[in-house]
Amino acid sequence: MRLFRFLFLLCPILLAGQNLSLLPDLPGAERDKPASYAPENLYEYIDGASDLFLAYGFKELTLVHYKYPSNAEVTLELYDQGSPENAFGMYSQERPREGEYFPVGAEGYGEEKIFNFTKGPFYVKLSLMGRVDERPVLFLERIARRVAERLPAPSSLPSLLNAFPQEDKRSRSETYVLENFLGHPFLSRFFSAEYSLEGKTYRLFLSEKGTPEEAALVLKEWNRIAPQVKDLSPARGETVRLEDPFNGTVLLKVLDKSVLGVLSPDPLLGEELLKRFAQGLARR
Amino acid sequence: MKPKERQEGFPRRDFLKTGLAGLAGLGFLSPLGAQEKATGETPKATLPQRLLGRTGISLPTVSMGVMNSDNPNLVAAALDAGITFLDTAHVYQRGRNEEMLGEVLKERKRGSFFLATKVPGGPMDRQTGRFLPEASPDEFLQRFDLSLKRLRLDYVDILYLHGVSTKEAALYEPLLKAMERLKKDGRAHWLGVSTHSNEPVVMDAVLEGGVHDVVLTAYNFRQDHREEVKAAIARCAAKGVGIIAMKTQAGVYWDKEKSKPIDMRAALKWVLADKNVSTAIPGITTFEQLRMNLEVMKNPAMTMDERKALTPPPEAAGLFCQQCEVCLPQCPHNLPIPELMRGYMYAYGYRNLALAQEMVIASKVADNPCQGCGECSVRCAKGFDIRGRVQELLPLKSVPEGMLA
Repeated sequence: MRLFRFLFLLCPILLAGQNLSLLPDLPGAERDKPASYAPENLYEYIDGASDLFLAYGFKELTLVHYKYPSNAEVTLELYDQGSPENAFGMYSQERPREGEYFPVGAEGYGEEKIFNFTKGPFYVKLSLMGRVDERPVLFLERIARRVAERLPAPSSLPSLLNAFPQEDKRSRSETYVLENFLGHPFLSRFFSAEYSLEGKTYRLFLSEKGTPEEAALVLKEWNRIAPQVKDLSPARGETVRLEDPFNGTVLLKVLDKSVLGVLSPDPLLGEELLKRFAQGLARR
Repeated sequence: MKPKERQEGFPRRDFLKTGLAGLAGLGFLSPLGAQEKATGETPKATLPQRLLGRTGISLPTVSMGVMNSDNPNLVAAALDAGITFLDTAHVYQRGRNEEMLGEVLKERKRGSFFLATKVPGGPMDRQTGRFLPEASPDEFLQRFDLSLKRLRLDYVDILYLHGVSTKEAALYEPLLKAMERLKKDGRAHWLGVSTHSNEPVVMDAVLEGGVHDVVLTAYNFRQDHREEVKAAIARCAAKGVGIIAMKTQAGVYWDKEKSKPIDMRAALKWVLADKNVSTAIPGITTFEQLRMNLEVMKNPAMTMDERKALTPPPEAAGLFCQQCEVCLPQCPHNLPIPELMRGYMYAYGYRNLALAQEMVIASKVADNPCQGCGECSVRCAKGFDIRGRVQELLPLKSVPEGMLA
């Protein structure tokens, strides 16, 4: 029985160890011995920044350095966040609204001497120390592509993001929050994006639950702390308006297993946006 | 996300009244936000306060670690409730955290809040904990300038050198001089270091250096060396160095599987019981946590149940052997238990099976070292199930070498 338990415990560790095989060799560079960090000791590498990675389901960091004869050094950090949604969520927390973006993995961007991208359950960060003979971001982009090729995952962002309307959406405003969305413990696994309408900011959000009952429960929980302005039944798919004491006016719809809504400075414009959203979701 | 925008028919005063209704019952609330906006004066403190060493700053006993939060409404609610001290860092969310705070704070009078940020010193040798020659003070100043820009502030109240764990790093002269220059320029009112390993050494270095005004240190009931940390805190406080506590919630869960939550109130109260701590900065990601922290400030004394709640369940004794060797004379087979427990930590904590296997092989224990023993006679000081862990570790001997590399 103890052997069985050992093997059971060993499995995830062995699987985690397989991330080492994802590390590429880089032409012209010498590769250091990789290191790995678990949830218990991630803070030793990235201090308090580790808390957010942990909040996004962090499993393991695989870290390696590549040294070039010119004394340039590239650090590759491969964060296994456990799922494409979590990896995108962590990536979305750090990516800039404006910047130089590249089609690497599902999406990537470069700034000066760093290049970050996400693919599948991985959030990958590259950084350069020292000098190279070309634009550092292009140098790192090439390396990022080599890394991305080895990651066994689709090169696409989570599909629920496709449900968000494109018109009026603020660029790179899409995020995924695993837990405590909008500061409420009953709101988990939400995608969201910001929209600009008549100079004001609206935030659309969407979560797909396991069952319609789970989706309905979200509304019930929210209604416990936020008075409902109009007495409408969510079961009819109608919009419910809540006054969240901390986040303002919320318009919500529950459609089967989906909870979708908008933080809305103007309820009328918000309703229109939500309607567009619901129609797009229905067409998926 | 921008802070909740003003809406027709939902003016700010109503927001304060209804939005913080659950918090108002705690008796702390006054329309702080409204007051400071109206008069520009620093609001009267209604939360329990402690002085931050010689800085003269008075801070609420519980403040807000912002590192996990991307919700400006949560930050605004904390400020409105009287939590006037916010902690962030240059690297959190690659700058997005500071930017989010900048959006919130631009709406507020500068004197109505205190803000601390941490700036990394630069490349560091992770083995020695010392800065490498590439750790440039110019780049440190550039990072600081970027932080100020993101925060939309002219100065920060506290600037920390981020994440040091050695005396050499804490007192690294090029960076010390850069920080002093910022203080002289008025862009950082007070200077500090942040640390979450080797904390007593770092704190003693701060005392020796005489430059830093504040230390931000990990401090919680689960630290193996908490008595040493406590003593170092006392030494600092006696010399007027302000102490701010982080990592106070001790990992939030007893276990890796996150099935056994730690009593958060008890954990926070444990830290606040040390009067040498000026404030604690637990991370806040929900309004419920904010409410709980306000309650703790109002009722900081630990109850008997809360004291008991800080005793770890046997199965949650943790992974890190403190190498106290209390176990050694208790084992009739003279097993090298501290080495084996380190191996266990590498296997199940760090998931470094290759190293764990090396340690098991090097220990030269028999395949079944507990044979002949009925009940294990070893009583580990940390409550580890020694026999169980040895049994769970030994199968590594059977795994072919090289398979785990």
